[in-house]
Formats: sequence, C-alpha cells, structure tokens
Amino acid sequence: MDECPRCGGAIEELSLGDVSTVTCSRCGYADVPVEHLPAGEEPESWRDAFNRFYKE
Amino acid sequence: MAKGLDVGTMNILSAQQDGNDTVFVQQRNSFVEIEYSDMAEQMLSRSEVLHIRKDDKVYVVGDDALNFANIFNKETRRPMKHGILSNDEQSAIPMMKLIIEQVVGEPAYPDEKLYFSSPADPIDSDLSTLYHQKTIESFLDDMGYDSEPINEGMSVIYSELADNNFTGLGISFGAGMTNVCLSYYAVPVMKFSVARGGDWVDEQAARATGTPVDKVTSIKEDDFELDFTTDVGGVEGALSIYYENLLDYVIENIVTEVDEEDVEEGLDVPVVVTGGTSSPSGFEALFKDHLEDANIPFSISGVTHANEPLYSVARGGLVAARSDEDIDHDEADEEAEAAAANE
Ligand SMILES: Nc1ncnc2c1ncn2[C@@H]1O[C@H](COP(=O)(O)OP(=O)(O)OP(=O)(O)O)[C@@H](O)[C@H]1O
Ligand SMILES: [Mg+2]
Ligand SMILES: [Zn+2]
Repeated sequence: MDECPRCGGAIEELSLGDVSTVTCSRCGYADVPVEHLPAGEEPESWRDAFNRFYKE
Repeated sequence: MAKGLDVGTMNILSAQQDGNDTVFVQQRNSFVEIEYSDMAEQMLSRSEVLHIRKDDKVYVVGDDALNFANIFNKETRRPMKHGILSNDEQSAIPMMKLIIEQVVGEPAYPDEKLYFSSPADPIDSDLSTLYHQKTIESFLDDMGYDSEPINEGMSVIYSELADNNFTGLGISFGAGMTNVCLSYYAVPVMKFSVARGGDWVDEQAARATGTPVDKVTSIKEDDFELDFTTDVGGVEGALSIYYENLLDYVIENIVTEVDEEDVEEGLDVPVVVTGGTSSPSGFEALFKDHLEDANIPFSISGVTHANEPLYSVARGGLVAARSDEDIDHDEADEEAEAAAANE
C-alpha cells in the first residue's frame, strides 16, 4: 500500500522493533476498522454448546 | 491466559500470568524527534534504543525518550494528554498503536480476553473519553484480542482490594489524570476523574521556576521526597507546593462527588492510593493527613498505599480479564496435549 485508500495521500510505514503500522499524514488513516455493530448476545460457539451438553 | 493493559498518559503496561507470577511489560508513552545527523549511529545500535527511523529523522520511543530529550535539549512528545489520545499530537495514533503492540504482544489464541484501562470522564473539563476508548479497543480487536474497557479506578480495586470483597475507594494518581472509584462488592457505585496529575504538577513547577518541564520531571522522579515542611525555592520547593495542592484538589472533589447514599450505613470504607504520582516517599503520610482533615461524608477504615504503584492498574485489568474468561484455556491446552499424546 503506498496510496491512502481514503484520501489518496501518501502512506507512510513505521516500524518499531518487531511491529509496524501504516499511517496517512494527510487524513490520519491507520488501517484499523472500528466496530459499530450493536454489542448484543454473542452466538454460542460449538465448543461452548458441547461443554454445556456434557455438563448437563 | 488473558491479559491486562494499562493505557496511561505516561506509561503503557501489560500484565499476564506465568505460573504463580505476574509478568509486566512496560514502556514510557513518549517519544522525541532527533535529527539523524545529530545522532551517533552507535548511540542507537549499541544500547538497543527503541526507535523509528524516518527519512532524516529518528524518533526515540519509550523509556529512552526522556534521556535523549535531556541530552539533545529537545522536548518529548506525548501521544496522550489528560488520560486520553492527545488532540495536538499528529502522530498520536500510529505511535500508540506501535507502543501498545510492542507491550502487549500477539494474543496467545484467537479472541484472548484483554481488559484495558480507560479513564472516567473528567468532572473539571469537557473532555470526552469515548473517542479514545473506541480507538484503543479497535487496535486491540484488530490484533485479535477480545478487548473490554475497565474503569481505571475500578481496576485499582480489582488489584488491591480482593481481600476486602472488592469493596472500597480506589484512587489512581497518574500523569494526566487522577481517577477515583468507589466500589461495593465489585460494582462501581461512583466514579470520576479530574484532569490533573503528575503532568500538572510538573507544568506548574516548570512555569513557576522557569525550568524545562522534562528537567522537572526527571528531578521529581529521581530523588524527590514529600514532607510536612519543606524549604521554599528551587524545583523541589515548587514541586512540594503543587503536590500538596493536587492532594487537596482531589480530596475536595471526593467530598463533593460522593453522596452519603453511595455508602452503605455503618460501612467502614478502606481507601487505597496508587499510581506513579503516589511514589515519592512521604506521599502516603501527607495524603492521610489531608484526608483526615477533610469533611468526608463516610467513615474510613484505613488508607493503604499500593506496594507497586506503577503496576496496580495493569494487574487489576488482568484480574478482571481472568475472571471473565469463558473457558479455561490452560485446561483446554492440557486436554489438547493429552489427546495429541494418545494419537
Ligand atoms: N518515583 C517517582 N516519583 C514521583 N513521581 C513519579 C515517580 N515515578 C513516576 N512518577 C510520575 O507518575 C506519573 C506516571 O504515573 P502512572 O504511570 O501511574 O500514570 P499514567 O497511568 O501513565 O497516567 P494516567 O493514569 O493519568 O493516564 C508521571 O507524572 C510520573 O512523572
Ligand atoms: Mg494511569
Ligand atoms: Zn489519507
């Protein structure tokens, strides 16, 4: 990625030790999504369902 | 497994359990920009200084930033201010993301539980903590954690008041803020923050004495002590005056914020103080003295000072995260190993 998908500006890559990140100095794009879904009940995983079954 | 993370204005720390020990990883939430030409290459490589190179500039990050700032006569830059992401630091988001990832590491398994500290909205400024909280949560979820914010004061109670059924008043004297939380059987009944802490003390003392603020911070963290009487003059003199003022300010706000209805009749409330700003020797005694003098609307059973004031918040997050794990992953791992061995 060298062009910002949000504003078309130049993307910079920064790294610190073993970790790295991208940033757009024009619009602040950081390639991290923000969740806006309602928190709600999470669907039960199969594993939890089996555990529940064996406990009962 | 599960992890706790303290996202602080000055220090970012993670906590995780390793057998009977809690392991902490800490990094100073600060950096300094230095011209590459001014910097001897060996200064960077030999001492394993954490840094980012960008064109002809070097950003020294974390614990070394303060030393480099003092050596090169530069000011440190801070991704956070008053407990939340700073609105006047352009690089706040990438810097925070890098430091957090460096401190917390990858999740041990997908959706590992992680509780990160988040301040209460301050009562003395109109800052909102929501943008900050959502941004940090997004970083962590993007890394593969199942993250959850925990109020900073509540985290102190998880860390320090387990033996008292998570009941009491927790106060975290940080850098950008002071967070206060009153909890009754692990349920927060009152919480607030004030946008003053160690940074405020440093800024005031720097202004009063015409000293660079990074210099003041170094003096304060090195060998500064609090006492009931001190001499006027110098950075130490100014620090004592503003320290006392901060204590009074926090206590005053506790008096106005806590309603008598918040506290069960006849309950003696233990108070625990922590946070980097509570570190100087003499702090606990001075705080006790000023608290006794105030008109607190409930009865206090005692004041304690956390053993490791810089670690309380991260440890509390870990305690909360561990108690919220749906399945015991250690057990699950052992089962998987046993199954593999049988094949
Ligand atoms: N030995 C010491 N003596 C005095 N002050 C200290 C000492 N060590 C750290 N501090 C101060 O403590 C503060 C940092 O404490 P802490 O790490 O608890 O804050 P934080 O969690 O980063 O900030 P906040 O909770 O406000 O977001 C800074 O102001 C720092 O200068
Ligand atoms: Mg803190
Ligand atoms: Zn952009």
